[in-house]
Amino acid sequence: MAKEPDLASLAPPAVIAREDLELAAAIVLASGALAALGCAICLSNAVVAGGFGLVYLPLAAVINAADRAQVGRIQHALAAVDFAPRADEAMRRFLGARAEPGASGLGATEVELVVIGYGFAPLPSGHACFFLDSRLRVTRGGGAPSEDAIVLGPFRRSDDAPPPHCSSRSALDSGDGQETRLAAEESAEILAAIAASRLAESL
Amino acid sequence: MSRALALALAVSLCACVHAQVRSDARGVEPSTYVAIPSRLERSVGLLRRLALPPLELEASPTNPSYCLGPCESAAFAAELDSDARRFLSDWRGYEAVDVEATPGLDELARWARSTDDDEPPEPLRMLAQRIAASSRSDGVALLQSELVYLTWFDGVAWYATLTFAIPISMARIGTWLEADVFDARTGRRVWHSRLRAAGTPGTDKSRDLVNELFDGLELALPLVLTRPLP
Repeated sequence: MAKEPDLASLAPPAVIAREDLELAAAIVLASGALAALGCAICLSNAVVAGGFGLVYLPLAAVINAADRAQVGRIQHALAAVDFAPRADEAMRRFLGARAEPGASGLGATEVELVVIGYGFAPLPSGHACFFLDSRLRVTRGGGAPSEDAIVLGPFRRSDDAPPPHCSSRSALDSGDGQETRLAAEESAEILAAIAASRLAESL
Repeated sequence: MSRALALALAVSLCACVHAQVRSDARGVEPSTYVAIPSRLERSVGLLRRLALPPLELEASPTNPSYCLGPCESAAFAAELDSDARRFLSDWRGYEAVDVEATPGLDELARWARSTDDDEPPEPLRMLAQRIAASSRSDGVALLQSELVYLTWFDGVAWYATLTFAIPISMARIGTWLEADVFDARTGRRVWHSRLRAAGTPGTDKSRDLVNELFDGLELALPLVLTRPLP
């Protein structure tokens, strides 16, 4: 027959042992320290994030301003080129050179070279290419004018147009925009050469 | 092996590709046309009609079965070759004339690779002139590439050295590209560009490598500013 358990002997001790108290205190202290560390990490994260914000936001603003200044300098260099007079002078030069001795030349023909727009088109690679859109209008003997497009550019160009002048933005900006001016001046020369060539063929 | 490939990829992503360009095109004149006087200044760009033999390729290892991972050197070389032709005509305005491989071309390629001197020995100078003359070109553009892949021997070395050999393998592999332009009249080298892309060949797009290789090449003289020879 089973013996009845002595319930009195299972009752908790009235006094907690010193070792157990020390263990509990150690656990509490360790938890507190970890909690404090957690708070410190959170705080430092907030400081670091704030610091990043403080550093990166002005840095982004500076980079953006530098970028805009660079574009401004390229635009300025481009605007300094007398594009239309250059193209006009070059076309007269090419037409003069192409005129055959004894040929009647253009005679009563009115030639108009209309530059619709030009500039630099950015490429995904970070380079920028010169583009130009223009029309060659020819009116003969008071008849209806004929119009012919002359297009230079990285994405679309006339069959008789060469590839455009492409450079990195830093190259276009360097040397006081020397590369930018060169691209524009060469393109004016090429535009004139194409126009003169088409006129010579049509005569 | 996948770890090794991942490492190779990581190294190649860090790689910086930049071409070293050298040019001495003084006194260059076209052979196939007359330039119409203009304000465009051109030197190498006067050689607007360029004979282009097929790309000279050297691949390592020569036996593809030794490669650690895929190595399709022939396919990548073909891509480089066609991208180079396309870039020269579409973005630089040269008339790229396809010519067949000629005996002695490998010697010219070896000479171009080995020296900074622009005056080839007489037989090679004559070879360049002959290629240009037979294709009625103003010059010859020689394109060559060396593709070095990881091999099983690299893998063995990594295990044997507890991966200490990995940097050596990484320094060894890569894509070397070189382009040289020879003047048809003199047979002299007038333009040179060389680049190295680290990492497994084919990691960088061939088009990007070719663009970088020829980035320093000036635009050809536009066709409208030329006249046929009298």
